[in-house]
Amino acid sequence: MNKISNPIAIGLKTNILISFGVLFVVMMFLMPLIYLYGVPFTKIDGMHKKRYAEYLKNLNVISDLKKDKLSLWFEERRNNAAVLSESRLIINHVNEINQVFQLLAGSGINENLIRVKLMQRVNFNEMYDYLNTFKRKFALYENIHIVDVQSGKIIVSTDINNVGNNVSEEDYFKAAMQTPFLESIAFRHDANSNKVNLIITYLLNYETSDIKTHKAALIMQINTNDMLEPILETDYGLGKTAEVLLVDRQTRIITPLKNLLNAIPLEYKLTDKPSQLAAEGKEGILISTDYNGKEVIAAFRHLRITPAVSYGMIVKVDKEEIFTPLKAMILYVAIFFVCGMLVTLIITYLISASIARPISLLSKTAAAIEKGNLNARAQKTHIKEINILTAAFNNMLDRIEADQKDLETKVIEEMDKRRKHEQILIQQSKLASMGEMIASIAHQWRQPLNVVSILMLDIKDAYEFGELDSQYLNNFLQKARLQLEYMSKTIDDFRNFCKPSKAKMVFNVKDTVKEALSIIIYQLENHNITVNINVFTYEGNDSHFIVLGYPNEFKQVLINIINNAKDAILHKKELLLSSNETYEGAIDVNIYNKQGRIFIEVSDNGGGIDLNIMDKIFDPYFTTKLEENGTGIGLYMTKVIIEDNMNGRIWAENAKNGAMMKIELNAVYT
Amino acid sequence: MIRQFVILKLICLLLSCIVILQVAQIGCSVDKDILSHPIYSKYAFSTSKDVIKIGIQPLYLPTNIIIEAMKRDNVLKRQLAAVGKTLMFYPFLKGADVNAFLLKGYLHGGIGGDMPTITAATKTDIIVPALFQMGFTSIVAKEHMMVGDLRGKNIGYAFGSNAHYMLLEALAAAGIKEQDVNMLSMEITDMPDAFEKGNVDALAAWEPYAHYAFFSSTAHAIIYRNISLGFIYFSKAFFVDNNDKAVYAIIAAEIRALKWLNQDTKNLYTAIEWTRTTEGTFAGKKALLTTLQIADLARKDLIGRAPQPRIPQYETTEEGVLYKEFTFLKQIGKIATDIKWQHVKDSFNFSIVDDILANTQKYEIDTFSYE
Ligand SMILES: Nc1ncnc2c1ncn2[C@@H]1O[C@H](COP(=O)(O)OP(=O)(O)OP(=O)(O)O)[C@@H](O)[C@H]1O
Ligand SMILES: [Mg+2]
Repeated sequence: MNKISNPIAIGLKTNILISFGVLFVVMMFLMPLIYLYGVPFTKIDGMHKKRYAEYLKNLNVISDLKKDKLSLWFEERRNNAAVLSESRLIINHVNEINQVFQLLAGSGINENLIRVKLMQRVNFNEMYDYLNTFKRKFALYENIHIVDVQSGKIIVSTDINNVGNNVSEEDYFKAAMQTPFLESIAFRHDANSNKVNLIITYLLNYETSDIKTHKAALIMQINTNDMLEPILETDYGLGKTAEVLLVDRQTRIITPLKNLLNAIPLEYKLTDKPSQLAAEGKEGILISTDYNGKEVIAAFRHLRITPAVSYGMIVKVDKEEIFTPLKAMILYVAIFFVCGMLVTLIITYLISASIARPISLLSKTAAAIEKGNLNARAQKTHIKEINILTAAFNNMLDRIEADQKDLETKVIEEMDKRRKHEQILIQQSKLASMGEMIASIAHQWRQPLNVVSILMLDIKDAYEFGELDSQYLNNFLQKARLQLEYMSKTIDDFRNFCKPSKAKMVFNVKDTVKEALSIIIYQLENHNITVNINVFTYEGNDSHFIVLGYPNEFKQVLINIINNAKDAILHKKELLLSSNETYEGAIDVNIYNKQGRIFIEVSDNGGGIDLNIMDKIFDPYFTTKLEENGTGIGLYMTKVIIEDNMNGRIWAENAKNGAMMKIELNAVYT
Repeated sequence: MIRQFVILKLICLLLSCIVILQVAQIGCSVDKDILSHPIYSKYAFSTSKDVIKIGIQPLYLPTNIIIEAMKRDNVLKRQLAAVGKTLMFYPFLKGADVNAFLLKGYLHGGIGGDMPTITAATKTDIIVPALFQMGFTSIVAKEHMMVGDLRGKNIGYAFGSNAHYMLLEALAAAGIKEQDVNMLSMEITDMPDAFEKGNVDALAAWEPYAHYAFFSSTAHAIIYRNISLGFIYFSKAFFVDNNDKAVYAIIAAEIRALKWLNQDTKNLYTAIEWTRTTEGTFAGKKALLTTLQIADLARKDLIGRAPQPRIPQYETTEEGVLYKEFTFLKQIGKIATDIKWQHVKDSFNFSIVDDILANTQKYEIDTFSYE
């Protein structure tokens, strides 16, 4: 199984956590921003702008209301003056009373007496009563006078004690006379009472007389409290710091200042922009600094009572106070955002865990299976799609498991078959060398048979010469028995070789090599091939040549190898037949132990193995020989016996004059 | 890369062309081609010496109520006839247009806001005998805001109008430059549409346009206003050419009209109806405001507040708004720097109204005869 490893790969849970986490954080971040500041380049306004616009609207509406109230109040006072001035009673009697007053004043009597004398006149009393009735009705006039325009003296008044007083030095009167028109409006500050009065001066009999000949004027002194109180009232949700100011055309204050109590009305001049704009005729809202140097939002309004009489009204609130709730709102949104983000992260964590768990379970199962636990199965989860996956996965596992078992039995069967086949092959190859062995037996028997026949000729001669005695006979029998025993042993050896080895056993390699050689030595000698066995022993001890294995099969190995060497030598001889070259076939067998490993090297001078086929010679049925000479299973079997059955190693090399087969085996005693 | 540059250059070229065209257009509308104006080009200005020609603005409320009354004043007609004169009013879209014709000699006088009056006084010798209005010109926006918030917004205005001046002054007061806003020059009659379609975010307009825009949605807000003292003015050359009696008669008619309008609400409503008809005819649309809405405006203006149209002397002093306006117009280059305030100040005449008011019987101020 290939592992797809990516150094930056992260877990599914982390992945979901990060992806959704980032998404939610971005959303949580954007949402309050949109909530506060809206979407740029669209009509979607944020709370901040809405609140701001709302506040400005509030300020505008309240300022307009106050302005309208104030305008209306002025209108009403002017109308009062107009109504009074049009009163028949006043118009009809004013000139007469004025004349009487002038006469009395001219007569040099004191003011008290003038008042007494005037009080005796019905017309005066009627005017006096009328003015007082008027005063009572409205309850906002401090007093109402009728003055003689020429002298400035009061001829009738709501307060009899004022009659005879002179107002000609009063600023409002002087101003009124400078522009001698129907009406004149002015504020007057009374330093003693610290009160601001509005004074309307209204010319009497204006319609019927020319300006220069005006005799009398109405002077109404109005208490401004009931006008100013509602105007100065700031309890409209404008804020604690809200203040309403009224200034005249020269931006002098008419109303007292909330935070500068010693500022004297009609003297103290405001220099801030809103006041100036308001006095000049502008209306709007501006951020500015007020008389205390505080940053304020100021709505300014202009009241043009007449073309020449105008006032400015300022409704101002400390900027800080207005922006504090906005700042608080931003803070709350920020807190909400942080809390929301935490909650979102936790929820995201839980969601990602719940989504990832079934998959990570699945991957754990897969890992268990990878380790070899084929019985492991994925569990059912709460996610439908993953359950489908799990079912498919489990199904697949079931099938794999079944296939695996099937395969195992097949492999065992197959291996069984192969082993049997191999044994057959080994037997076959043994049989293949049978001819040679019979020749070998025949060859080996020739010598003892010769000896026996000579012994028999001997015994005949002895008999003939009468030398046959019991000693001679015993000697003969012993010699003959020796030969026969030798022959019998040869046959036994042969029979042993033909039998397959039943079980692994320990045996001496050196001896076994010699025994194997003895089986085929006849053929070699027959072809004048010399065989040298070189055993490198240590101090005559050959226990280090003992191995565990199958000795008969091992003999077969050696026979195969030596037969191949012999074939190669014969082949070479054949090639050299026509030439005059003398060639002696030779096979060397070296046996030695090197560091606990036994090496058996069989080298010949048969010309070696073509490098092209070097990697194929151990393949089954690979041969370069004619059909009757070779089947190609010799080396294959050899390799099977050495490597599969005896845990050794075999390989071929090319040495000086021919091939060298090398066998490496584990020594039992190292 | 190179191609992009070429496109960029082309865009720049196009933009500068548009700018040049627009500048040229403004130039045209102000001066050069005023005679070929679609409305004014049809005017046949009488060449008779006996016809007094005064430029007025029918789309200027509530000022026009007084004029509508004066148009129908039989006493005025009689008094003018006594000196061998007749009076003709020529309607214009804005004060700047009245001035253009006054300067070219087509008109003897005009009735307009303080800015046209002051500019006329700086360009020629005029006499300003009486106040004619003290109404507001306003900046109307789509929502409540401060003038400073207009930064980057489109603002519709009529070039050379009183409201134009008011807008510039408002921007200056809020500390923002003309370049910081996008000022779009247009005729007053095009403003309601532009505002409704959102082509402009705000308008600098006078009545009835300001209130019409304001009333068209509850979200709309008047964010800035300036009371504008309006005047009647005559070319000095005309006045001194033995026309003082006619001018007195005309001012007397104004005072009479104010009195008549004040005397009875019915009179005011009647005159407002005349005004609405004239407005509708001139603008080619129905009158924007209702009679009651106009009456409300009238009550807060000269008509309601001051039956005596005396020019407030204080405002012509160096503390007054007229002087301030003069210096501001100079500052922004609308008035040549070499012109002295004294010259403008001398144009205001305070005695004519005084004289008439002192002789109410002679001028028949209380004789009302409107047809
Ligand atoms: N000592 C050697 N010298 C040269 N060639 C060799 C030698 N030993 C093996 N070969 C080559 O390896 C081939 C395979 O040998 P192997 O013993 O498997 O089959 P074989 O000898 O051809 O037939 P058989 O099955 O009868 O042994 C031989 O045909 C020969 O070409
Ligand atoms: Mg072989």
